Amino acid sequence: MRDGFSIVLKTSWNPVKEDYGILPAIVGTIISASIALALALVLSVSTSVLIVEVLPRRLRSLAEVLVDLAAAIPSVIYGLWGLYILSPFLKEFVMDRVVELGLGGIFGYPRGLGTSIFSASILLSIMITPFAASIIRVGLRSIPIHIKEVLASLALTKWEVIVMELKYIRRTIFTALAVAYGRAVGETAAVAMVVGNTLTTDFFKVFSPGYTISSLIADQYPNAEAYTYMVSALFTAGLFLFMLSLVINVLVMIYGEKR
Amino acid sequence: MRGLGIRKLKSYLMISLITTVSVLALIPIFHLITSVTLKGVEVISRNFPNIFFDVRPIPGSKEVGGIGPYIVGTLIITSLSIPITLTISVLASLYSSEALSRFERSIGKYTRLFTHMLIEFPTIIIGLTVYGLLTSINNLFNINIPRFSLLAGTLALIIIVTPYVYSQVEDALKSIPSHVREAVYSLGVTRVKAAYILLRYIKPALYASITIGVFRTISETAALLFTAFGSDHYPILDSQILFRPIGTLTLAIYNFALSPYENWIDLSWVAAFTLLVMSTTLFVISKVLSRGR
Repeated sequence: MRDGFSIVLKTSWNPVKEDYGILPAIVGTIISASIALALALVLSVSTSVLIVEVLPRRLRSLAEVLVDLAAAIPSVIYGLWGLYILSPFLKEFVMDRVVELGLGGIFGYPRGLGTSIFSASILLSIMITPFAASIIRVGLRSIPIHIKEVLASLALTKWEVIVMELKYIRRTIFTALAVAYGRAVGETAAVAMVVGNTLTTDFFKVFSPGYTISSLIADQYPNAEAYTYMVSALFTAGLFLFMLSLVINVLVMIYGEKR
Repeated sequence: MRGLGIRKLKSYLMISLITTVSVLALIPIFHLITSVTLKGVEVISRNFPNIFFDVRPIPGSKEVGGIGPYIVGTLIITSLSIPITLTISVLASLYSSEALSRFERSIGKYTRLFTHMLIEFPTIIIGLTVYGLLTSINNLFNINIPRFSLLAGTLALIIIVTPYVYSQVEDALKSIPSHVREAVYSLGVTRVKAAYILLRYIKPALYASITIGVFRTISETAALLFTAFGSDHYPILDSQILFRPIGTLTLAIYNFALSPYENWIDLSWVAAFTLLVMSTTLFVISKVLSRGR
């Protein structure tokens, strides 16, 4: 590599000068996937608890089908919806409001349709929740009957039982979230559509348009061959994505539940 | 018990809270399905039924055009990759689940480990890999296999979808009760014949895994960006078809949605609706099949 390791630390992306840095993309990936994970944690645990423990039987299968169907919608459709419906919605009701409060300096300023790291995070959380929820649901279902009987015999309230059960399956929850994080990191089509695909100096501000590693590759490949080193730069970005998902995979294998 | 009232209140409040949060999680899904359907049907009604056969319109014009080439492209790339995917995954899963010797079993174990990792890998990396692989093959043998081609797209799809189908088929083979398996092997037939009987035993699961494979194939976008590349014309059926770029529905959604032209964006919704109908149908079929197991 012509640049050595500095490609990872540079923030510039200037094909004309053959000057490439992928730091904004790496930061963008980690920020968007992390926000998405935090939201998906709450959403997926609630949804699976609701389905397994709270809902009556008939409603339960309906909700289950809906969640499974959500996991079966191609990501590019999420991208289209995110671009023309979710992003403008978020811009109008969340981002513009926050900027009005004078916090634009911290969070950045939304542009155009509202495509930004923030929109990508929200879209990702919607997308990965069904995946995580289906794994957590299986975990909740597989709690041995004797554990359930012990819990029932303790005269706990419903909520206390749920907390105990969630503690019991914490390894499953970890696995589910790690797998979901892997998906969020590697998701391309949907993210490339809503993340804005702009390289700015304030790439760490969530309301500004930005890049993730995968969207950088997807967005830049058509003109990559016109430049001497851009293909190599994109492959370096790919290498980082590969290493990131390798780390997540290994973590799941070591700490996760044996599947 | 002291404080039971407070504990009950807390329990009640927390359960209401998770119900609210879950509803919040489901609303976007509802909204997505209805908005894609409404918008898609609205645009389709402007040029029905030609919208499924026409090619894309001139950018910025008032024409509606259609998504014909992309539907054909999706069908071609799917029918090319699925038979290969299926063959590889059925053979591999037979090998790893019906292993007899220790050597065979260890190979089976590594196959399983490897496929599980492959499933979790971002598909764009697999696209990059195929691209890089073809580049190095070209450089090595000094030939010129086009990297943006149906061939490359099919290759990428095979690599992506095979692990999914493999793990489905393998799970099904593993779930065969041991008395059935023992009965089959006690017949004294060859291993190939035994494998054939076992496959017939898991027929519904086999069909379900085919639907899942087709679903993964038609919904893949990222890896096709720099392999199949996309094309806006009907593919010409001749000997060179493998070496030319081909358009698919997913690529059409992606490219049209990011274009600045109103009528292309409309077509993006149509393609999304078509894809949604296709994937929902496959979802229902696989649900029905796996229920009959």
